Amino acid sequence: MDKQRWERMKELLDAAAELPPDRRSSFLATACAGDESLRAEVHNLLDHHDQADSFLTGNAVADLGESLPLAEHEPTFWPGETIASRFRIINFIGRGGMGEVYKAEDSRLHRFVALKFLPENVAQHADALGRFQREAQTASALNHPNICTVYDISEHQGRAFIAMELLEGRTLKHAIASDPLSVQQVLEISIALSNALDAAHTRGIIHRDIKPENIFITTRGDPKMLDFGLAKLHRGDTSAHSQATISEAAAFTRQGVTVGTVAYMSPEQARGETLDARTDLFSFGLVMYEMATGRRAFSGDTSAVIFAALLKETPQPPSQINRAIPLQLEQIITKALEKERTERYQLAAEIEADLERLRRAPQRFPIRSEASTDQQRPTRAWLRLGVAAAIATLLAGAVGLYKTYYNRRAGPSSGRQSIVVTGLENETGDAYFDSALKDSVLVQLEQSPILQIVPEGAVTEALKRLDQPADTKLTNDLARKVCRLAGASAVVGASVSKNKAGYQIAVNAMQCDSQGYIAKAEQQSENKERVLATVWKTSADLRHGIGESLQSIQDNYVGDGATTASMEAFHAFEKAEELHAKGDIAGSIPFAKQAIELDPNFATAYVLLGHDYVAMNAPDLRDQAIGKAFALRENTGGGMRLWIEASYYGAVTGETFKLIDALKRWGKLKPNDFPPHNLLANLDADLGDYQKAEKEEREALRIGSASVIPYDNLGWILLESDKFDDLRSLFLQASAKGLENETGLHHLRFALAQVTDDTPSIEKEIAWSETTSDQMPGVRMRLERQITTGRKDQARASVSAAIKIAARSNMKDMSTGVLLNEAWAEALWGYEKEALEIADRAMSSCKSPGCSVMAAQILAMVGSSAKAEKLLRNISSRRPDDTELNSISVPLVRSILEYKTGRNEAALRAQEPLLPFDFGEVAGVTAAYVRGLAQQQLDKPQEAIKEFQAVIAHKGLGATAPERVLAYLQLGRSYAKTHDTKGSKSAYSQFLTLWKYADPEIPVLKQAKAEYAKLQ
Amino acid sequence: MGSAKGEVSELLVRFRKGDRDAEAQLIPLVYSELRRLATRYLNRERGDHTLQPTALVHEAFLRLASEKQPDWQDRAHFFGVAARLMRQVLVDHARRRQSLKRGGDCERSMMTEELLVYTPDRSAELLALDEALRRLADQDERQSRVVEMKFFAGLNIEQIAAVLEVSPRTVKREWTMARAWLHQEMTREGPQTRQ
Repeated sequence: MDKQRWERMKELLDAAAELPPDRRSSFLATACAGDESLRAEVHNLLDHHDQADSFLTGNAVADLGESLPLAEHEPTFWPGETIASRFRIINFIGRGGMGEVYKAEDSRLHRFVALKFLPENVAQHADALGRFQREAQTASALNHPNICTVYDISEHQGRAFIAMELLEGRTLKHAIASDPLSVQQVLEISIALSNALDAAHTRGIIHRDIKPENIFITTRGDPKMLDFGLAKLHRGDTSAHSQATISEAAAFTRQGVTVGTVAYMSPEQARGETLDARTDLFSFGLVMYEMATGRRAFSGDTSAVIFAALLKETPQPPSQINRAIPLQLEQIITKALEKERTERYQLAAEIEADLERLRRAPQRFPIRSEASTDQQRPTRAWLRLGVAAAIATLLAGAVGLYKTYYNRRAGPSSGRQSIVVTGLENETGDAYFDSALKDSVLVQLEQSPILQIVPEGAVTEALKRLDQPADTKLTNDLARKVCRLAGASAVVGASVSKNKAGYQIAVNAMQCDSQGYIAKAEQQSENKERVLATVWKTSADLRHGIGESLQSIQDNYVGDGATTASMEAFHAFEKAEELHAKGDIAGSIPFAKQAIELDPNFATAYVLLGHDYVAMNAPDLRDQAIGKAFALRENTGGGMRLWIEASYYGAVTGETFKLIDALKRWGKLKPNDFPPHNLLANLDADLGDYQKAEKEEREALRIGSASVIPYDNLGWILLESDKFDDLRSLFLQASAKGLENETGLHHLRFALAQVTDDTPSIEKEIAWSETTSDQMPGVRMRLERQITTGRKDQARASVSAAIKIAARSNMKDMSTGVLLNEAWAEALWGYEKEALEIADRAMSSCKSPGCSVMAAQILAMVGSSAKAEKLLRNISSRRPDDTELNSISVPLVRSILEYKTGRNEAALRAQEPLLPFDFGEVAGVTAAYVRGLAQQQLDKPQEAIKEFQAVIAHKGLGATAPERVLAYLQLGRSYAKTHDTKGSKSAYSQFLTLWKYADPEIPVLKQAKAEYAKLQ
Repeated sequence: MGSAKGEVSELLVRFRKGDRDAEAQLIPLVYSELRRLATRYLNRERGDHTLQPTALVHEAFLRLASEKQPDWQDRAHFFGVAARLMRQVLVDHARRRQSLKRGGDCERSMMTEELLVYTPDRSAELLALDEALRRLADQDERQSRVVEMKFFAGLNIEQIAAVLEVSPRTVKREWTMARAWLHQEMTREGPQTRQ
C-alpha cells in the first residue's frame, strides 16, 4: 500500500472514530467520495476498532503471567544456557515445591546432573544456605546408594542451586498412586531407606521433611532419598526448632501450601518443639503406612484437621485396610508412629533390623502373617574370633555354625511354613527324657526346607506380651496364642509315654487358629536307647504329613551320622557343644570324646572335637578328628556334610580350591547361612581378589548383620583394598548396630588411623585398649605402631609383655604370632642375630604351617639358609596339597633364599607361582618388596622403583608392615642409581620423616642417614 | 551487573546522539536484564496482579544505568530500546512455551512428576501478534513501535510521545490505527491467522 494512501486511512480512521457511531458511515461516504475501496477499507478498520474491545488494552506481561498457575510458570533458564560457568542446561525437567529442576551437563566432569534452583527467598539466608550446604555435603559424603548425591551447591544470578545426581524414575508418591505396593516392595524400599536414614542420622543429619514426594524410585527400582536438610533451609529456619507449628497451620492453608506438607509431620514438629532424628522416624512411619495401605495415615481437608489428627488420633490399623500386611509389619509401623518420641523407635537401625528380620522370615500357612525369626545372636565363640587370617583360625569360627544347624533356619526363606514347637510332654516320669527330646524334635524339623521354626526369643517375646513368664509351660491353648502372636501358622507338640511294649512317641502339628490337627505321627520304641532315633523317625513322618516330599526328607534327614541314636552320646555332645560355644575348649574336649566313645559313628561329634583341637592349636589331633568326620560324611545330611568337607579341606589339607567349591555349594544349599560367604570372602582376600572378597563379605553381612564377624572381615577387606571411605561408612553402620566397642573394630580403626597418619585417632585407640581387661589387643596395636615408626626398644618391650600376658592367659600361639611379627621387622632392620634368636624360639612352638613358614621367612632373610630350607621341606611334606602354602608362602620364602645367596634372577623366577595372588593377604607387600630388592641387585633400578612404588601404593595392605616404610628408603636408593638425585632425596627424606622418632642406632637407619648425607 | 552500570549510562548518552555502535552494545545488556526480570515476574506466585511491564523496564533501567544520572531523556531512550527488547523477550518466552507444549515430554518423568499441565494460554496469540506486528512494520514502522512500547513495555501515550519526540496526539492516532489494523489481521480467516 502506498504511503500516502496509508496516511490518508490513518487520518480518516482517527476522525471517524472520534464521531458518534451513527454519523460515521455518512462521514466516510463523504470523505472517500469516488474511492469506494478506500471507504470500504477504512470502514472495515473502523469495525475492527469497535470490535477490538479489550484487544491490546492490557499488556503482554500480564497476559502471559495470568495464564500461568504456579506450577506451569516458565522455566527461568533455557536449553544451552551456561550456569555458573560450568553447567549447560539441557532441558527443563519440572518444578517441585522446592524449586525448578533442570537436566544439565557438567562441562567440567562431563556428566549429566540435575540442577535444582531454590526459590528466591531461600537464597537470601546466607547462614541457612551455608548450613544446608554443610548438611547436604555431609549426607552426600556418606555416598549411600539410597541417598541422592549432591555434587555442588552454588549460586547463579543470585539464585541458589544444587547440582545433584540425575535420577530417572518416579517419586514414591507417584508409585503409590498408580499401583499399590506389594509387601515385598514395601519391605525392600523401607529397608533401604531406613539404612539411608540411619547412615545420615549417625552423622547428625536430620531430613525433617520425609514424604513420598521426597523419595524417588529409580527406573531400576532403587529408592533414593532426596533433599536432606533442605526443609530447614526452605522454611528459613535458623533455630533448632521445627518450621511449622499449629499456629502456623492456618497460615499454611492461607498461603496455599499443600496439605501434603503438613501430612507427614511428627507431633513434635507440629508442636514446634526441638527436633531430633526421631522426627524422621515418625515421618518415615507415615511413609511406610502409605506404602502398605495406599492411604495417608492422617488425612483431612485442611492443615488444622490433619494437625489435630496427628496429635491425638491413632491411625486405622494398616491390616484393616490391606489384609496382606503381616502383623509384624503392622507392629513396626505402629511403633514408628508412636506419638511420644520415647515410645517410638529410637534409631533408624532398629527399624531396619526389624524389617530385615521380617524380610528374611518365611511365608506362613495360608492366611495370616509372615513369621518373625529372632536373629540368632552370635555365640561367644563367634565373637571371640577376630580377624581371620589363616584358614585354621577361620574354621574355628565355623564352630558357631554348628549352632546354626540346630537353632537357626537355613535354606530359602520363601515358601516356608512357620511353626512354634512346644515342649515335649514327658509322661514317663523319667527325668532322663526331659530336655533332650524337644531338641531332638527340633533338630529333625529344622532340617526341613518347608518349615521355619519360631525361635525361642520370639516365643519369649510373645509370652511377655501375654503377661506370662518366659519359662511358662506351653499348653495347647497358650501355644496357639503364642503361635498367633508370633505370626506363625502351626504348633508342633510331642509326647513320650511308657506302655507295655516300651515307649510310645507321638508328634503332631495343630493349626494356630483352630483346634484342628494338620498332621499326626506316632511310633513305638522297644527300649529306652532307641527312643531318640524313634523321635527322629516320628518327626520325619510328621514332616511328610505336613506335606514335605519323601525325597526332600531323605535329602535333609537327621540320620545316624549327623547325630546319634544314643541318648547318652547326644547328651554328651550337647554339653561339649555348649562349652565350646562358651569358649571353654578344654572343658568341651572330654565331652566330645565321650560322645564319640558312646557312638563311634557320630560324625558331628568328630567334627566338633576337630574344631576343639583347632582352637587348642593341636594340628595332629585336629587332622585325625576332622579326617574321621570326613570319612563318615556320607552318613550326614546336606549342610552338615558340606561343613565337614569345608573343615577338612580348610583345616586338614589346605586345598583352597576344593574348599571354595564346598563353600559355594554350601552357600547355594543354605542361602541364609553366612559362614560360607564369610569364608569365601576370606579366601578371596587371601588370594588377592578383593573385589570378589568384598562382594562375598557384603553378602555375609547382609545375612548375618547382627554378628561382628562380617563387619570385622569386611573392614579388613576394605582397608586392604584401600577403600578408606567405605571403611568409615562401615564403622558408622557397625556403631548403629551397637558394635562399636568390639575389639576387632577398634583394631581396624587403629589400622586405618595408621594408614591415614591420623595421630589423634591412633592415640585414642591405644588409650581405648588400655581400658580393656584383655591386654593383648593393646599390646598388638602398640607393637604395630612401634614397628612402623622404628621404635625398636619399645617393640622389644611389647614382645616381652605379650609373652607374659600369653603365659598368664594360656594363649601361647597368640604370643608366637606377635613374636614373629617383631622378628621379621628386626630382620629387615638389620638385627640379624636378634631376629634369628626369636625365630628359633618361635619355631619350637609353631604348630601351624602358617607359623612355620613365617619362621622360615625370617630365617631366610637373616641368611640362615640351611635351617630355612629344612623347615620348608618339612612344611611341604606335611601339607603337600595346601594351595596357599605351596603356591604363595613357600615360593616367597624360596625367593628370599635365592636373593640372599645372590641368585637374583632365580629369586624373581621363584615368585612365579605366587604372582596371580600378588598383593593378596598371604603374599602381602612382602613379595613385591623382595622383588624390588632382587631388581636392585640386578642393577635394574627402574624395575626396582616400580616394585617399591607398588609397595607404597598398597597403603591398606601394608598398613602395619615394616616393608611399607622401608620401601621409601629402598626407593631412595633406586632413584640414586638412576641418578635422579631429586627423587632420591625426596624418598630418603620421607623415610627419615616417618622414622623421625625411631631409635637412632637401628642399623638400617644409620645407613640411610649416611647415604642421605652423601646425597646432599 | 555492577560493572555494567556506568557502561550502560555512557552507552545511552552515545545512543541518544545517534551512535549505532552504542545501540548494538546496549541491546544484549538490556535484553538479558529484561529477560531475567521478566522471567522472575512471570514465575512469581499467582495472584500478584500488580505486575506491570513498565515496572520491569523501569527496574531494568535502574539496575543498568548509573544512579546519579536519572536523566529523563536517557530514560526515554532506554525505554525505546527496552520496548523492542521486551517484545523479543516475551515472544521468545511464548515460543518456548509453545515448543514445550508440543513435545519434549521425554524427560518429564525425571525428578518430579508435577508435570507441566498447560491450561490454554495466550502464548499462541502473542506469537500471532508478533507476526502481524512484523507485517505492520513493513507498512508503518512507527506504528509498530508504538504498539511495542504500549503493549510490550506498558508505556503510556505521553511516555511514547517523549521517546518518539512527537505529540501525544500523533501517538494516539497511530495507536488507534495500529490496533484496528492488527485486530483485522489477527481475526482474518486464512493461513496466516491464528485464533
